[in-house]
Amino acid sequence: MAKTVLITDDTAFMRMTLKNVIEKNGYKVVGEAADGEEAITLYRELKPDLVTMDITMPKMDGITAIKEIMKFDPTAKIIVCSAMGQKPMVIEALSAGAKDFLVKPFDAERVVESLRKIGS
Amino acid sequence: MDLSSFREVFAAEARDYLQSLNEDLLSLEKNPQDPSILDNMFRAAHSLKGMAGTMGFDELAEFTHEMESVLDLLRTGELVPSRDVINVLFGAVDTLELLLEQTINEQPIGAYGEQMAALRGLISAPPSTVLAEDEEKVYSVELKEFNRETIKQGVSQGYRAFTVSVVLRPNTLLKSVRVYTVFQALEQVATIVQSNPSVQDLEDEKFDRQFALVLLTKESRERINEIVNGIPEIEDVQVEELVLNNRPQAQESKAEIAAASAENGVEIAATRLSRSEPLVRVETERLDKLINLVGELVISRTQVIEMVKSGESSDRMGALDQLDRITTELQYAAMSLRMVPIKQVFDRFPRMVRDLSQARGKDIELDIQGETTELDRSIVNQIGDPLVHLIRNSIDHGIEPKDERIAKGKPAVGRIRMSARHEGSHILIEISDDGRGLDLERIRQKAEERGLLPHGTKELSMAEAVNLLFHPGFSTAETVTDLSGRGVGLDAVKATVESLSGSIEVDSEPGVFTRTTIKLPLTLAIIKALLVRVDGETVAIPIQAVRENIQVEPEQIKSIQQHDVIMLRKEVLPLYDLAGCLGFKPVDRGGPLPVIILEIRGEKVGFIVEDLIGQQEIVIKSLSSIVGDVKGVAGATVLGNGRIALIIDNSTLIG
Repeated sequence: MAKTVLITDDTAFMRMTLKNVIEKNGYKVVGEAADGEEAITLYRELKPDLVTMDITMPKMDGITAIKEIMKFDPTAKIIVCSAMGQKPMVIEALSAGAKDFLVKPFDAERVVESLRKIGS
Repeated sequence: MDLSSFREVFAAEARDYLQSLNEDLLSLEKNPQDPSILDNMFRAAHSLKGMAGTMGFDELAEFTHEMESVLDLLRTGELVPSRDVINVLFGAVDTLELLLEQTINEQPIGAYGEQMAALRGLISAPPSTVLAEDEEKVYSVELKEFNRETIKQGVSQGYRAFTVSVVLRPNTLLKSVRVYTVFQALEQVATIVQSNPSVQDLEDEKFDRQFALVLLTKESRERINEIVNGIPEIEDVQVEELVLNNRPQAQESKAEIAAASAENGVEIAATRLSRSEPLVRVETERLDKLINLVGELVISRTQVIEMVKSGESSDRMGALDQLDRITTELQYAAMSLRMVPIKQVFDRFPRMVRDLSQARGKDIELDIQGETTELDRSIVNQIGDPLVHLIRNSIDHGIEPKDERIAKGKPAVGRIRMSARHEGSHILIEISDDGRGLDLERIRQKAEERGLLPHGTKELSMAEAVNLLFHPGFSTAETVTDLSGRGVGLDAVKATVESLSGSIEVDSEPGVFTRTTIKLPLTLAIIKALLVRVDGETVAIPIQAVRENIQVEPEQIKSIQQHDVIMLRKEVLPLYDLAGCLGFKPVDRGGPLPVIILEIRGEKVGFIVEDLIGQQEIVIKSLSSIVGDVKGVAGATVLGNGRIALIIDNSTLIG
């Protein structure tokens, strides 16, 4: 059975791009969140195998969302997505429980590798 | 806190560290593979930095910090101790030395930006250049000493130690974060003991694609491999069980010799040598002995006081014998506090020889022997300059260029030997080289040019040549180098040695060797002297000049050109009246005359005295400045009976 993924990003463009790559490689995108709060709600609801999490988002940022999700499910597999130059935040996300990080602009192979390694 | 009172201690200790840095650099140059040298150097730099920081000497602290960083890179193997690197470090030590002296003497701090830049250049050099040379995938880690201990302990507690070498995929973004994920994953199951590059450098992305970790874990090698492979963007992982004592080899690059700092180095060697230390370090054992003896002296004093009070005469001699023994021992113990090993002087030379031979393009090895030989610190402080001069002579004029040596069938590498040893109450310092030897013909020509010899003088004997060398202003240097042509000739060396009551001799075989021997008294404060009586006064003659005592009948005294002479074993010796030389009433030549034969400037001279008293150790007191320099008198001493005796200065007694 294909692994399920929840995409979190505040721009529709990024969500689209990611969804395209993810679904082409045999994963099923079960939900898309535009901010941290939405991501938490959808996570509880959908229990996805994997989550991609943008850092800078309105309402609630990615790091806070990661912390909340980890509280709810310590086994959550979250991949944090960042832009170059967000190193300290990536580190914070990783120490909050994210399993891997992706750097924008996304490289399709990198995205797949990350999903495969973290998802296994 | 007022730290000014620690200034001297700081200076003395800092100089020690600089000296040890210098020595270690020399050994590092010879054994770039030895990690203990770098550890030592790193510690020295680190301590120096801490000390300078505490004293508030910011320039020193800042400079040492840069040096420490370079040493750390060398220690972790990220930087290879190439010739260039070592030369920069030598330059840095010199700069530190200047900074230290300027700081201590509260002089304005000179510019040191260039050296600083050179050090920083080494630090920021991309480590990838080192890695690029490293064909192997396994990127080794040189263990730090304390980590070595940690690992030993861990292994003894059932942990396994692994070296994990990781290669990231090309174009990995946020490399440092990727490394972080590796750390994070491994720290779930292991303790990371050390990383190469350092964690700081990994964080700052000061690495190419490879890094290595040393860790302790209870997991298997396969499991560690699996964990790291589970992380994205890892191109290659190698996990090796760590066996201690497996140290990486430092490569020596064939860099060009940069010896621009040589002159500077010599300059510094010279200032180092002429500096007199206000502080002396004394072994605690010697101090303890001194204190013990003082204790015994106090007891002995009490005994003598009791004896006098009670009027008992039973053991008078015993008590006095003991007092005598204690004071004698006390004298030696106190003297020993002034004695320092000649190592303090000799230590400066390996560096000087290295720098100078590089600058002259000669291959020279310096062999030092007897550096533990002790002598009076006031001599140590003054003997440096003459030795610098002699070593320079050996390098500049003695040792031939390599080609010339090979053509002559000599070993290509020239050899200079410095040695020191005790001989009776003297110390002998020898400087020899296996170079050209004295060129008698050239010396003759020069002497004629300088008008020291009449034109048309025939061949010189070695002894005559040596005498000429010591003549003021004589120099055989064909091209006057900035080092040898400073107008300080061998005559200055001789003057210094003689001012220390010493003597100097040169021996040579043309084409084979030159050897200079300096003979010095062990101490200047206390000497053995022959006491004689002239005109009712007691006069002390330093024993080292005395060759023999003879008895002369008045009729044995002959006269040549209105000068008294005596024959001694077929040798004609000039004869003087010691009393006359010192301005006393000459001895009455009515009967047999005691004559003391002294050696003055290599010649034997006889002196008539009234009577011989005997040998005794005397403490030299210099004449007060009111009296000034008196010809023939070196000082005075207080005798056991409270009377004063003049001490003869044999170098100015006649002529």
